[in-house]
Amino acid sequence: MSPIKKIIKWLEERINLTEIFSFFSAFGLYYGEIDTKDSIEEALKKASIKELPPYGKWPHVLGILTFLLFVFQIITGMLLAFYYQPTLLSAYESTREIIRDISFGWLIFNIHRWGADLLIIILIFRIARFFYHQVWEKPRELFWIIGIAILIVSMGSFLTGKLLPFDQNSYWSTVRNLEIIEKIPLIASIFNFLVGGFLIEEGTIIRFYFLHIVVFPLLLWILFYLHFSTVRRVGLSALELKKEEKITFYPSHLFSLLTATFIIIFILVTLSVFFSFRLMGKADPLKTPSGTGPSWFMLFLIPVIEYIPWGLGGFLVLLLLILLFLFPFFGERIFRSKTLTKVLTFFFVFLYLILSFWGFRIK
Amino acid sequence: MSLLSIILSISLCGTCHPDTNSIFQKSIHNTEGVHCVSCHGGDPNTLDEGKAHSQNFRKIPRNLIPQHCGSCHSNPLLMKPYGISTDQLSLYLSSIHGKDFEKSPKKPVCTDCHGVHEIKKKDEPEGLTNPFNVVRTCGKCHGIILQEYLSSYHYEAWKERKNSPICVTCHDPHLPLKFKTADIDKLCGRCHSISRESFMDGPHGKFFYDKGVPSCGDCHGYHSIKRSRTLEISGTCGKCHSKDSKEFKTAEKLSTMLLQTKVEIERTEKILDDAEKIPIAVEDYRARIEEAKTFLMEALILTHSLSVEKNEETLEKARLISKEIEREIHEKMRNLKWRRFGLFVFWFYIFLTIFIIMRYKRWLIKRRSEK
Repeated sequence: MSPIKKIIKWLEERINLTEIFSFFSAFGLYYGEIDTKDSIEEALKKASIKELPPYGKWPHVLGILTFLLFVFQIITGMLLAFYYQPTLLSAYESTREIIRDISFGWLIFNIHRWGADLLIIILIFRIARFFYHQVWEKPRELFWIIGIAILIVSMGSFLTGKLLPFDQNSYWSTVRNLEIIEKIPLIASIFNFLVGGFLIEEGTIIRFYFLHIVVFPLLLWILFYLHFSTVRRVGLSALELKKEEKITFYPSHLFSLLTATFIIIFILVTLSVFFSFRLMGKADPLKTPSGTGPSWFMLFLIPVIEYIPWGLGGFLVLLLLILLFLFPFFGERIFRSKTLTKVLTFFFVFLYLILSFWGFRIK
Repeated sequence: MSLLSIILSISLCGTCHPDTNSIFQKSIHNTEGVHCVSCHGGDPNTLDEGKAHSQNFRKIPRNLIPQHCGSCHSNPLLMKPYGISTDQLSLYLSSIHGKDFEKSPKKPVCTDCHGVHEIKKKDEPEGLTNPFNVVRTCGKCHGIILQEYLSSYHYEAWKERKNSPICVTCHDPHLPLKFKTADIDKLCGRCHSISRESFMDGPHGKFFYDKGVPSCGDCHGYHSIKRSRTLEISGTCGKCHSKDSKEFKTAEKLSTMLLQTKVEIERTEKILDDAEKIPIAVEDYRARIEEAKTFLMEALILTHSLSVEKNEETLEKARLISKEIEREIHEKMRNLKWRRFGLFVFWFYIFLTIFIIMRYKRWLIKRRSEK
């Protein structure tokens, strides 16, 4: 018996390894159900021959990319948290220390920031992909609802994280973000309840920090768990697949996952080296730098909120948000034609881009 | 007069003169127990106009104001507790204001600068002689000079630091004089002592000692003093020296040296700004560039001696610091390029790993299908 097998046997006599495997599979490691009464060897054998749809291939790749990016955010975020100090006095200095003085701090910081941008881009694409392929139809309503929730929570995590470096850019960008959030009813009330106002004060950083490193990641873990859970129950989106395309978990899926991980590392590191973020000096509430606007994915809200009179823009955004969540329950009746849905996807993406560009011009 | 009658006197005078009374209530005289009767006499205890305006009641005519104010303010027994000097009246009478007043009572008297019933201490914000207000107080009559002053570097520095010269810094408030040109070096030298020393060491100083020209104001202006005219030599040196003269050539040389050093320091500061955004640690360099700026400032002061050698020596120190900083920053920036080299190695590793994973996957699938 090989030494590894001996160690596994020794461990298995004392701990249920299949249960641990089952726990990780709940977070996307493995697609399928696991019988925890089986030995780990049997469970892995069953898992390896389990037939899957081409999981790591387009268009399903967006889902696993999201989760991988989220894991990267958690790892890099934990490393940053070792040195970051969430106070008005030392937030900027500690960020500068991380980037400037700590070994590879600049890389970790840049990977974290680029990772956040990529995560939001991929999540927006993912929702567009769901709409395009009508991934809201029975029994996959929860795919859509959880997808929207993941996008909203990720945006919240992005916005709270944006303030933390506390340089001029992050401070004034947060000020503009808060000006937008303040005008959306209900969201403004929730924010007000959590943070205690729309001014950036002594307590704001610590509250944003808590939301950023505890509340939002926890919510995302729960949402990812729910997503994987519903995937196991109803299966991946029902695309028409040829029989010969069916693949097994091992080696196809596992190795595709590994390849995707390396590709993400490649993209993040390359972006971090060539397009490093630069600190714009410590935040100064009395000195507004030119050209600072809200975060890029919030730009489309500026024309909506500023050009629709009597504060109705905020109500419209709230209404759209509620409709997005409830969409699976009435979407099927409205969007029966697949061609129309596909055309509308491009229309909505185009509208989003146009509004964002307009917002960018008037920010 | 009892305390009760003093209180009554205020309230009764104020019954008929409410506006004057309300202004007077806020004045330093009221706080210190000087009341209506102290200056105007009369009976403060009656509301009968005739009786109130009897008993040596007086309006104080303009031509008697200096003597009237002086009756208390020249009295050492009264002024001693407040630490106010008692030579104000005599200084005033010997000043240009006082002498003009003797010719015409329309010329400035105490109340024109200090106010009448509203007199306040000079450290009160509303006081007319408060350093923040005194420029406007003088400017009521000296409008053109006020405009010149407001365009000057002295005023620019006042807005920023509140400790640079205002009217009364150079012109004693009770002895305003037109300065003799021969004394102006002493006046400016009260603050700019090193500049004066440098000036007196140079050829200008020696000439000034004999002939009284050129004075500080000839190059810098008087009330409209500009920060530095070293770099505008045609407008300053060119006034006395022809462009072909040896003196003008020296001035040109000095100006070029100073300008070059200034440009070099500014360039280094810009490099520091860029480096800070990367970020590279620049705090030490910032302190060193301040040192370079100090040398530049020292050289600007030494310009008064018109010595190229002395200036060159000081400016060289500034340029050396500037160059050292630039070299060190560039070195640090070059180190950043190693990141890109590291990236190429990283790419190679990533592609190799992906290649191995894909080959291994294909091999495993092939082996499984063969089984």
